[in-house]
This record gives sequence, C-alpha cells and structure tokens, in this order.
Amino acid sequence: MPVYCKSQCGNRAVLRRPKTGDALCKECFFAAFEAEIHHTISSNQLFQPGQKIAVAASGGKDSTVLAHVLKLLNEKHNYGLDLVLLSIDEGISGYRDDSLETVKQNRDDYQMSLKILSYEELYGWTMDRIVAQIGRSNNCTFCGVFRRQALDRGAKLLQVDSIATGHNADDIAETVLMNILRGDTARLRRCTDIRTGGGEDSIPRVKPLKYSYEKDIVMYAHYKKLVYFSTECVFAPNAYRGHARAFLKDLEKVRPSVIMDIIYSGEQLRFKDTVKKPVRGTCSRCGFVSSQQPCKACVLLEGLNRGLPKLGIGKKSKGDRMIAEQNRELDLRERANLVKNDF
Amino acid sequence: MANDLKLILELSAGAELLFGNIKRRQLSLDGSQKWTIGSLLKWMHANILTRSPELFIQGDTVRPGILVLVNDTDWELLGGLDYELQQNDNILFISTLHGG
Amino acid sequence: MCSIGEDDFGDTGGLHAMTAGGPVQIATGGTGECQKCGQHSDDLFKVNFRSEECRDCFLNYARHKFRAALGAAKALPRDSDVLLLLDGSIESIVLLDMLHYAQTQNTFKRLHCQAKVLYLDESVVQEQQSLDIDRLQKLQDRYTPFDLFVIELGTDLSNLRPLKNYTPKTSREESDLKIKLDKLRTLSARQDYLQQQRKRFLASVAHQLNCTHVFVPSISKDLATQFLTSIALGRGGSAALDVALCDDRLDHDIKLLRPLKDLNEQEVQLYVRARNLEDLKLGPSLATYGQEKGETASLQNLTAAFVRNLQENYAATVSTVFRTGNKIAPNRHVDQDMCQQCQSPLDSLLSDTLLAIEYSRVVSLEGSKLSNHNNDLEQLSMQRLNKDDRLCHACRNVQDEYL
Repeated sequence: MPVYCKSQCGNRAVLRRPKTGDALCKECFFAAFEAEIHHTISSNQLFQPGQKIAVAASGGKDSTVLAHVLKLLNEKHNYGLDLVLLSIDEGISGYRDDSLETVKQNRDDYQMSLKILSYEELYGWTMDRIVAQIGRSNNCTFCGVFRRQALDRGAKLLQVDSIATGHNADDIAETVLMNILRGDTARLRRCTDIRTGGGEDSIPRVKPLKYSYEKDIVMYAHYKKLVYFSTECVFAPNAYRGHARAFLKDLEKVRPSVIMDIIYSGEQLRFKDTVKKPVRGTCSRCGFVSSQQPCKACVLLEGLNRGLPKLGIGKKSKGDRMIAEQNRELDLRERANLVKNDF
Repeated sequence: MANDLKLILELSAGAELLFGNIKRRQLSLDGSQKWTIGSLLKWMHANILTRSPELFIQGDTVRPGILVLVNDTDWELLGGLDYELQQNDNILFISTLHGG
Repeated sequence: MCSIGEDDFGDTGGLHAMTAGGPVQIATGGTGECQKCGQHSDDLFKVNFRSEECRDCFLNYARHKFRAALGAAKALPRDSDVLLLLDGSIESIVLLDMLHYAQTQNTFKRLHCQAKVLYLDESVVQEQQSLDIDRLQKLQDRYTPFDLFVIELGTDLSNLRPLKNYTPKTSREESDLKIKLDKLRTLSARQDYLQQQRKRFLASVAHQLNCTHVFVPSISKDLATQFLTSIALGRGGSAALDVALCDDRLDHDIKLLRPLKDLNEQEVQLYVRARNLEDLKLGPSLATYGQEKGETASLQNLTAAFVRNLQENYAATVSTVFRTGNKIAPNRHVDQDMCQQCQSPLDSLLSDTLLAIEYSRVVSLEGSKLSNHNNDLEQLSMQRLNKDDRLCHACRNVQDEYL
C-alpha cells in the first residue's frame, strides 16, 4: 500500500525524511527542504542585506545544493545578497580538474561569478608536486591546511563579507565524534558553531546546511537533477575520514534522528575550568588566522621549500630542531665556501 | 525469455565504481521465481559486483549511507529489503559515502 | 569534495587520528625479579607501560588507583555509609574485594566508612535464569562482616531483604517495570529508560538503608562507552555526570561514585588473578540488558561494539575518549529546573538545534502549501519545543516511543 504525503496534499510520498521520519511527496519535500534552510539562515541571522557572500564551491553535492538553494532563497526572500562562487584548485590531476568543470557548470547555471584560486599561484606548489616530494602519507595534512587558508585568501581577494560552506548535519555530527576520539577539546568547543571566525582580522564562515541531512541533500540534488561531482580524491581513496563516518552511519540506521541528537550533545558540552582554551590570533608571517605562531600553513610551506617536508607534521619542538640542524649544516657549508673563496 | 523479469539497474555518485564503472544496465532475471531487493542484492553481489564488496554490502543489506530508490521512490517507503520487484522496475543506488 | 582538514575538521582529518595498537595482552606470569621491590617472584605481573612486578607490588598499585580516585576529589567524607552495588560482573567483585581490603586495614590506610552490599536481582527484566543464592552466600562468607542485601529491580522497597532472608520468586509474574519496558518501541529507548530507572532505584534503596553514597563498578572502558552513548542519545549536557567520579543528580541527595574509573580491563584481569577471585556468574549483569539482541540492535549496542573494536585495534583511542570525558563539566546553573525522569538540567528551550527539528516537523505538515507566514511556523515550533512536560530532550525521545 502506498504511503501518502504527511502534508495531506493527496500525493504519494517519495521519501522518508531522516530528521523527523516524515514521508513527503516531491513538491512538499522541495518546499520543506528550502524552508528549513531559510529558517536556519534567518533565525541565526547568517547574512545581512547588501552583503557579498562567497559560496565555497567544490563541485560536490553539498556545495552544488548550497549554491542552488542560496540563489533561490536570495531571490525568493529578497536577501539582497551578492553571491559569488569561490573554488580552490589543489592541482590534483584526474580529480580536481574534473570537479572544476562541474563548478564552471554551476557558474553558468546560476549566473554567479566564479573565482578559482590555485595552490600553485598561492603557494607555488600543486598537490601533485607535493605528493611527488613527500609520498602518500601526510598529504591530506598539507591539502587540508592549505585549503583552509586558501579560502580565507580567496575571500579577502574577493572582498566578501562571509564564506558559506557546504558542511551538512552529518558532517558536523561526525566531527563531534571525531574530536572526542582525538581528544581535541579546542575543536570540540567550536565544531558545532554555525558561524566561526569573524573577529577583526578574519572573514566569518557560516554553515547554512548545518541542519540539512546528507540524505535530504542527495535526494534534493537527485530530484532537481542537479549535476555534481562525486569521485573520491585520487590521493585518499575510500578512506574518507575513517571509522567515525561508518560508526555514524550505523547509528543513523538504528535511529535517524541521532545526527541531530549528536549535534545537540556537542552544543551542550561544557568544559572544566582546567581545560585550556585555544587562543586565536593571526600568523606573524602571513597575517591569516591561526592559533599557532607561525601558522601551520607557513610551517608546512617552509618545510616544502627547505626540502624538509616533515617540518609541520610532528610536534613543534621537533620541527624547531630540524630547522636548527639544517641551519647549522647550511652555516657550515657557507663557511666552507668562504674558506674556499679566500684562496 | 518471455517471462523474464526485466529491470533497469542504475548506480550513481560513485556506487558504479564498484560495478565495473557501468552506470546503467538492463537486467533480465529468471521470472519463475519471486525477486525482492534483498535477493537482487545477493544476485548483484554474486554476478556484477567487481570489487570491495564491503563498500556496498553490510550483512544482508546495503551499507548504511547508500540510498536506494525504486522508480524514484525511497525504498524505506516500500518495505526496504522485502519489496517485491515488479516488471520494468527501475532500481537506483546512490552513494553518499564520498566527500561533499 | 574532500573536507579533510577544513576549518573545524582538524589539521589531519580522521585518517591519522587513530594510532594503531594491538589488543591488550594478558601475559601469564613469568618468574624473575620484581622491578619495584627487587624481591624474587614466581608470579610476575606486567601492566602495559609498567615494568614487571610481584603480586604485592601490583596489588599496591591497583588498590592505590581505587584509593586515589576517592581521595583526590575528597568524594567520600569520613565515616560515610556506603552501599556497594554487586551487579554480577567481575568488576563488581573486584570493587568488593578492594573495599573489603581497605576496610580491614588496621593502619592509618584504613578507609573509614560503613559499607553494605546490594545485589540487584534483574532477572525480572532479563528473562534469564534466576539468582543462584548459594553463590551469593559464598561471597557473603568471604567478605564478612559486610551485610549483603538483595532486592529485585523495580519492586517495592518493602521487599528489600538481607541475603539470609531472601527467597527468589518462583512465579514469573510481570513486574510493572517489565510491562513499561515492553511498551517502548525500540531497544535503544528501553535500554536508556532502564538505565535511568535503575539509577533512581539504587538511590531509593540506598536511602532506605541509610546510605549516602553508592559505589558502582564502572571501569575506564565502560565510561568511554557511556560517554559516546550519552552523546548519541542527546545527553551531552549531562554526559559529564554520566562518566565522572561522582554523579550527584540522584534523589535523596545520594551520591553515586565510580571508584574504579581509572582501572582498565587489563588491570582488572590481573587483579582477578592476583587475588584469585572467581567470576561467580551470579546472573544477568547490570549493563547487559538487550545485548543478546546483537550489535546493531540499538545505539547502545552499536557504541559498545565500536568501543570494543577500538580496544582491539586502537587501544589508545579508548583512553583518549575516557580522558575527553574527564575534561567536560555538566552544563547547569543554579535555579535550573530538572528533568523529572533523569534529573538532568532542562535547557531544551534555548537550543537552535532542537528548534530546527520542531520546525522541520511543522513544515512537513505544511508541505507545498507553505507560504509566507513563516513567523507563525516559528511560533508553532517554539510552542512544540516548550511544551511543559518537564522532560529533557533525551527523555522526550524515550517518551515519544511509547506504543
């Protein structure tokens, strides 16, 4: 026997929504999905009229749906926003070059301007070259650290008021679990925030899809026939964030509302006074937001340029020792040169 | 055969990579027996799944995170594994397990 | 797109979060010199990250963890009346043995408290064989002068008996608790509800026996599991109390203490060997309700299986989870109303996340008729969130599952 739409519109339902268990027809699902994102944006005041917003676009399902819905809501509810797409080209052939084609499609479909920033122009290194130098371990560290800063740099370049990212409810719940498994209390404090950054010297980031389930996003994209890119990164196949994701998906199968419950739990956590708080500042070298001096991106970059790619991987003290040692060697060589040149 | 059960099987968003990179195929299954999604999964596992079955199958069902649609309707509304396949049904598997 | 390492997602992503490490090895004792006291021993004990030591030195070390847990936080005032929960698990026998030892010390090391022991008979909800009185009697004999009491979970307190006066029920009439549990739709809800009820029941028994403190036998692995479970159930605001040394939410101002919280599985097993303790298999144990239904049957079972798997493959991660649990504090402030079910602070009306769930329910009902009267919908979801049932979010989840 067919299941009918919860709204009593008379149509047959096409999907069960995991957040509430309600079954909806296609039209009612579109309306509900969009209304929820609008509610998230308006009740959290994510944007102000007249602002310029960069949508971090990767060509994947989340950012594709985000760009689509933001454009739609901007027009429907007169947000008065100037929306632009911002993409990062990590320089991974066979992966990013293909997904950038999808982003260009988004640009044409949604009539938004697109800025692509590459690791090559920002840092002088592509991920392909980085992997060639450092091998397949720790490459995700480089990529992740560089991408975070690249978005900040791009946003500054475009002079936007904030960056909207495609993190969905599943991502945030997973991150809560991840940070517990890693004992990372600093990130546990802020990983559920719908808005991060935004001090004097950093551009805020917002997550309009914070309460949108991955399933709803994929179904929305499917029913709306949105084109997105879904290939695994060639450097991290099938290893996407490991065990926490599988655990979360198993939990979700037992009780779909668990994702919201985990986000809620994460928000309700408080920390003992003895747990140290991270100090957010700006990097003395590049001026971008960091809780370390110098920032991780600068350390990693220095490592690459010095031929010491492990520099930023382990503890800071270990990195300092590596630099000191190399300086000593360079010093000796310099002196040897001087001696030679004396003759 | 005339009484074969004809189906369209589609795989997308990465799920096709486990099935020889074929996104859409027509199946003709033995029409003399009853077919459910559950038995279709077993058949897929035995006949067309080319690598990493653990990324697709978990126990006797699909791995959580893979969405299943029958004629564009969420299988959760149709009885899941027990849904009895009908002539010319379209079965679509969408993976959500890649990044976004 | 790959989101490894993006903002808030950690510098290294999940791939590198966990360091592999094999399962805990229980070495059967070798012969040699104790690295601690230098004496020769025929039966050495080896705890991970410690050198081999003789039985006495190991026992000192293990017992110190128990004493230090109680001492460091000054959790147990001198001469308190303590009720020790014997739940059938081997950990509870270790706890009993440690407390007995600490009590019978004649030196200044003596732990000053009056202890009673409670065996909570859970066969009413577990549908397993009923309690073996002879085995309990053996424990009573070994640990004199402790008084051992028995009661069936959920029954009237007038049924509380000293062991010698206790006769297990032969007729299997349905208890109220069992009837209530059977009305809940999912095992996750039943396990959660049972856990809250068990704690309340323990508090009322303790009160009846004039005890101010209850000792429960959770070890670090149990608390790591509990922490993740509480997170998954939406109990983040009170998770700190679920894993802390002292849970002070209980009725009658009873304090629930977890003096074994710093012991790990290996130490428990070595202690059992060192003291020649017997796993009496007393009957169904406290935390096992519903476990026979399989790993994927509930959020709690999945989480327990996840932690067991971590224990086998990434043992260090289990202690990281446990230590993260130690860093959090309960989210409460004075004058806050408490949940009438689990006594955790009520704070749901302040949460954007819970409002988002209610909003989603409201828009489902509206569907595509949804027009521009969004303010009404906001109001409506606000009302749903603020309904006056005096339940926290997690207990509402349980409430919603009544058939």
